[in-house]
Amino acid sequence: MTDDLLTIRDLRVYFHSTRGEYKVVDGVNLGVRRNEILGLAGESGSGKSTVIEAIGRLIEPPGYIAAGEIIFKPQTDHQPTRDANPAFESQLAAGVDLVTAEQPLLQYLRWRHMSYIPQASMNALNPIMRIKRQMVDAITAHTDLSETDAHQRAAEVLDIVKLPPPVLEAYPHELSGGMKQRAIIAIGMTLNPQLIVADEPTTALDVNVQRAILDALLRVKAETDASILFVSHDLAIHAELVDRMAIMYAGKIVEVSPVHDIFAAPKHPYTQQLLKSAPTLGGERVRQETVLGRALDRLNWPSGCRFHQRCPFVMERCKHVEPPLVEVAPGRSVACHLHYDVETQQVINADEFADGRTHD
Amino acid sequence: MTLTSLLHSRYFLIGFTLLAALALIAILEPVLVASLVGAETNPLQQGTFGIFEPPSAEHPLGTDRFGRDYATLLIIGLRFSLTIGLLAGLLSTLVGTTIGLISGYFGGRVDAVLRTFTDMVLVIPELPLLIAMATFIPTVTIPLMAVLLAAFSWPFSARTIRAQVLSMRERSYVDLARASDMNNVQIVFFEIMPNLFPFLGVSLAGSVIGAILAQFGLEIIGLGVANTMTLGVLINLTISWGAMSLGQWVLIGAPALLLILIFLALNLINIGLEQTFNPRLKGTTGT
Amino acid sequence: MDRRKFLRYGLRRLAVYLLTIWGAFTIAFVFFRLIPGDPIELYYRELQAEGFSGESAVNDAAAETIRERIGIDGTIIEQYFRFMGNVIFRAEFGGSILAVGTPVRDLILRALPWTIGLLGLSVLIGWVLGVIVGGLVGWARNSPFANGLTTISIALSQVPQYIAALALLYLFAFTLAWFPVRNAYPGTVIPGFNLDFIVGVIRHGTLPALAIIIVSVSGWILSTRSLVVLILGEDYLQYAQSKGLPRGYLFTNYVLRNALLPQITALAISLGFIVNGALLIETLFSYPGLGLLLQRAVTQLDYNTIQAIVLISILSVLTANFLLDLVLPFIDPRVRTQEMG
Ligand SMILES: Nc1ncnc2c1ncn2[C@@H]1O[C@H](COP(=O)(O)OP(=O)(O)OP(=O)(O)O)[C@@H](O)[C@H]1O
Ligand code: SF4
Ligand SMILES: [Mg+2]
Repeated sequence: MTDDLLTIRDLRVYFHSTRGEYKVVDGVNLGVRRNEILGLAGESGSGKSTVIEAIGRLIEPPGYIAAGEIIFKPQTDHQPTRDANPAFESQLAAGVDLVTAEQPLLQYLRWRHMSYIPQASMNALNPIMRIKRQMVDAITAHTDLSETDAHQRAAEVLDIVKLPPPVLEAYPHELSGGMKQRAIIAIGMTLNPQLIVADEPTTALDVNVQRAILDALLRVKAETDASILFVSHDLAIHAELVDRMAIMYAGKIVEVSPVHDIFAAPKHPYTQQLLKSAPTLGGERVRQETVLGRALDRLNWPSGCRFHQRCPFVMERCKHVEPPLVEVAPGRSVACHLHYDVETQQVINADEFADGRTHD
Repeated sequence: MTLTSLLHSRYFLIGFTLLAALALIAILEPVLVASLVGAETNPLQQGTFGIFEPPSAEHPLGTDRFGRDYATLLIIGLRFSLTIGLLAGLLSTLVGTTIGLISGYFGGRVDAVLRTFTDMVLVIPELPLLIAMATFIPTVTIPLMAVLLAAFSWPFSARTIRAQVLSMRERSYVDLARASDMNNVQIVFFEIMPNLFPFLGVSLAGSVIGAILAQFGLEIIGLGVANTMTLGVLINLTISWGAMSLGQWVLIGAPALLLILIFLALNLINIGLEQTFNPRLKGTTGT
Repeated sequence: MDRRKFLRYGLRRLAVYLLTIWGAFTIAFVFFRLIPGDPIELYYRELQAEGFSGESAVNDAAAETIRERIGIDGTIIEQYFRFMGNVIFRAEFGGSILAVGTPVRDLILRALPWTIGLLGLSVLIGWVLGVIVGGLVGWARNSPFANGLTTISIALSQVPQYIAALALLYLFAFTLAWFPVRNAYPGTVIPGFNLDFIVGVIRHGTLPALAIIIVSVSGWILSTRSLVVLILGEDYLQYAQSKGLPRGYLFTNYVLRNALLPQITALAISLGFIVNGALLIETLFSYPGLGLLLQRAVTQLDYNTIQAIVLISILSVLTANFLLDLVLPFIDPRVRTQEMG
């Protein structure tokens, strides 16, 4: 067993319907290391948010986790000031499967050890509660801080995302979209959790605010040894912020590599396509949604490699055999028959294909 | 998709079957009454049979204090309650739909005026006003009663239809129709109306419920359609001759149960329609 | 909240309220004059039918006297100004036929407390119970118990209050004799602040109140449940869940509080309609409120009393709306911003 902070194995999240099971996330393998920022990218609908929600155990019916495990293993001596529960802490130190964890343990570890920044932060705040209340309620639920200290802390984290103290007294509808989003990011930082899962936290923010938030996330990582799982469409932000990057396609992870390697030499043909269509640095977010991608049927994924209908290098094998995610170079994993021969179980040195991005 | 998926709703099926059964009894009223008391007898005539006869093969529900076959009275009551309710409901849906259509389709100032008017009528406490009218109008006939009832219940339809038309107006097929120079009336009748049918159903069922309920209220006060036996009149009459203290609970319970069944049937139909055509409401009514 | 801003808002609402009263009363006035048939003639015919009057035709002079007494003499314009002046500025509804010599106002004032007490309290109790139970039923929406309760509520909400009252009356008053059959208190006690009277009022009020509560509670359960189910799908709830807040706190502060806002509006509307709702229940129990008064007035063709009760019923709807407007900014910050900037 690895010592990663978070280890996802063969995660499957399905949505039940009268027509069958929508296999939105279908066999995801991914690890988040300690004190790293892991970026998650992929076209719209590939299942990124669903993975994030599964980690927070926030999937609502008709969705459900059909299989897999999510092992979460925080270092529990991290925050001595908490009114910690020794039984829970020792369970956590040994590693807890979030898929099967009981409600009390989940409630205990949420926010204390893992916080969540939702994609739809426009509506994530209770419309009839002041921001202050919505920050303090999480603090007092998890610590023995006094109300005054909790306020103090709330003001501190707001400052990190460059929101002035009066925001504390405001109601959500009195804030702009960008302010709400920043408030939510601040709320996620309040208790210095070891894992922050952030679903497109910078989307729709203007460049200055984006910068402030990226700085804040980097600072949190440096100061609190936290890890951040960061979802974004914006490849430029990934390039700037993350340590490693995972690429998702059709409910699966197709490539995981250190961010420099991925930008320098993407291995998976889908990654190559994704990078090619990337907008310029800091530019407008573009949804990488092709007509073909939309037509993918989540009830019945394509057989073999799910990318084979769109892949310029498609081979006969690709149509029938699903390529596994394997490490093909130090620190680099890819799920593609070009890089790994499933029959001989040999890595193929396929770097010559890397210039596939010049094809077309 | 629509009609067949409607049949998947348990609520709709139960409601519809129930209503069909009640309607059938009402339609067959002359035949049923003739078979119960004989074709020559006036079923409302007092003293035809003995009083307070217990239920028997001849009199399934026994007889009342005036020696009338109670099952017969019940069937007649059902017929007239449904007739008045349906008449009022149709009228009210017609008025409400027209207003809702105009309001939603034309929008703007027309909409503002009509909506204010609708909201105003909606907050009028209808029962006192109906009572006042029914008190001072010399003879209330069935059509007049339907008009009175409809006068207060149309806003329900108007609201439902307006909301639907509003959302429909922006859809592409209406744009297409506009582009192919259909006039407003044509667009309303050929493009919008067909899509409104389920909502017309909801409006109609809702208005019929409202009408029967209001009519029942009037009859309890002693104001109804002149010389017409309805379920409400039957209940009022039975109470006033003291069925309660005489322990004749069947004679009150039976018409009351029929009324409840009418309401239940119409409401189940509505729940079914909403479940089928308004997916956001799915699961909110407790399937 | 800024006091000056609220004051300005309140005054604006008050102006609208008064204006609507004027409008609604004007419509009511027109409406009453438009009713076909002459109330006096009808009144005479009734008297004759009951054998009180020997005259064969309506005596013009006598008719005019009655017309004057109930305020429908003179031109329509004169009538209108007299009517508005009396009703709005002096709360005067004219004389009554029901109890000759007693102003209608006194009849109304005597009946009103009973209606407000019985109906107001029952509506309130039904609301509180329904919102709490409905909230829990929605919160536990997938449990068999909650589903069972929902089904029962759907069925119960279809029972007209009057019929529920009939059933209760038959069972608990006629058959079991646990509760009295009619009136608001026993004829043997002296109304006032004494134990016998209070116990009597409670005993007499129980059945009618129960009928209202049983039916209205089921309606509130269903509507609150729908609201809660919608809230459970909201982003802010998922987010709050991810914060690891205690479940009880989540339910009260996130789910229930948000469901409460529309339900408070609905409650105000319900309270506004109590005169409407009182009519039937009160006649069944001979409960001396406005409903019973109206029934008596109807049998006596008492024009002014009927008119007054219609006006009161309209007034109560408008007043409930006005009070709601005043309360809403305090409980919903969004309204506060919208209305007061
Ligand atoms: N209740 C549901 N039933 C069926 N499919 C669902 C349901 N909820 C979500 N989905 C599907 O799951 C997919 C959503 O995946 P997800 O939101 O995780 O994508 P994403 O990668 O985060 O996309 P984006 O970049 O747009 O945020 C969509 O294709 C959606 O249709
Ligand atoms: S497995 Fe085959 S189809 Fe899939 S990406 Fe690799 S080469 Fe293309
Ligand atoms: Mg997403």
